[in-house]
Amino acid sequence: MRKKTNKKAQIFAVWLVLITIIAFGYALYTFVAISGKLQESIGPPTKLIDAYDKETKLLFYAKESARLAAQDAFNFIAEKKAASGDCVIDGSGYVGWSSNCKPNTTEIEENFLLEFKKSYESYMKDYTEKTSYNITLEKNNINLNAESITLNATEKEYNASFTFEPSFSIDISAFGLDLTDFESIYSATQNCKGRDASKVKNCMTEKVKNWKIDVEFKEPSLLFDLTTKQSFFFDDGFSAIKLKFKIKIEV
Amino acid sequence: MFKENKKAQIGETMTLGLATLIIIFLIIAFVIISTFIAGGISRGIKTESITMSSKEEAITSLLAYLQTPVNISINEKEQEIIIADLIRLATVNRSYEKVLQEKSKEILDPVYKGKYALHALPLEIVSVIGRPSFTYTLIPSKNPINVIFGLVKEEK
Repeated sequence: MRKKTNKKAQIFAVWLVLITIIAFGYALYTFVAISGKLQESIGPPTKLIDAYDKETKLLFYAKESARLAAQDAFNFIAEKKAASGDCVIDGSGYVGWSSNCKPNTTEIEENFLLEFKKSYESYMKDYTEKTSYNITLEKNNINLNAESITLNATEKEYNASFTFEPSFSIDISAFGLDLTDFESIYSATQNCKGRDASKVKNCMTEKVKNWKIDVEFKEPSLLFDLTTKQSFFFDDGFSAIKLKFKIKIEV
Repeated sequence: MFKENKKAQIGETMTLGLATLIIIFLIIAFVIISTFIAGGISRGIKTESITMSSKEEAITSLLAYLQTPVNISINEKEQEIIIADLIRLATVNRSYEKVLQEKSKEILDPVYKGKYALHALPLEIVSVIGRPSFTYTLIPSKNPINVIFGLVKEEK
């Protein structure tokens, strides 16, 4: 009877050892086998991060392009489209402002938007990621609504894509430009009349904030040379935006 | 009869003792191996995340640097412009190259202590000895300018 018990205990001990070895062996094998895959699956999603970087860089490039295009368009307006109607330009480049040729903010906004679109496209044409924008203008705010872009971010066996909309808006008054300035300048000339150029200049300076004003009397007109207080970068360097016009003095 | 029982007891005890020892040995071995493997995995993850964060850091820093406002004298008038504009200016007027180098060092040296490289082709703004990992971005201009920024990785 005693012998039997001993034998059972021995068999139990042997089996216990064998089962333990098998269980530990299997656990070890499983752990080693999956450790490589585990490392891969929790590794960084490189392509997803790259796609995010592309979005960041595109947005930066697009915003900078919009800023430059807004400056270009404003400069174009000041040089060529500040006044509308029956306008005459003299040999020195002064546009004769009068009741028949004066600034109109609605027309200025239309021309500004056309010129902005042209200039913005010329900057964006060099960029790798292409997207089309619906551009609208609301007072001094330019809204650029973009179509969404989808980038492939597939990594090994994991399928992934990254979709974003690089839409944004810029407020041109933030960098000292205002599309209502031209009408305000014309109104100021109507309130600051006279043959005394320095008096007219002082009067105008009080009413017009973003511009530096120079006035000269040259029979029979007052010649106005306005430059923006802020300088802007154009193709050949920094310069102020210039506005030249003249107003005939009524006798 | 008595002799036989004693032998059986010794054998039985030895078997149980040996089995216990083997189990204890296996448990200890398994703990050591597991620790070793787990340590290897965590080391791998750490290395990867450091690599990615330095690239991310370079891009974030580059874009922040380009939008940093600086005061410079333009046409004898002090004006605040952003670095991206100063780079544009320096590419059309090389007399501003030195100003660009100085302003760039003022911005980046306190953060990266000289362990970076910066180029805005064709300008070499700051160069370093070492093997920086580079990132780049374009800034719009009449001809877009490629600005390249590199951080020298810390030796481990």
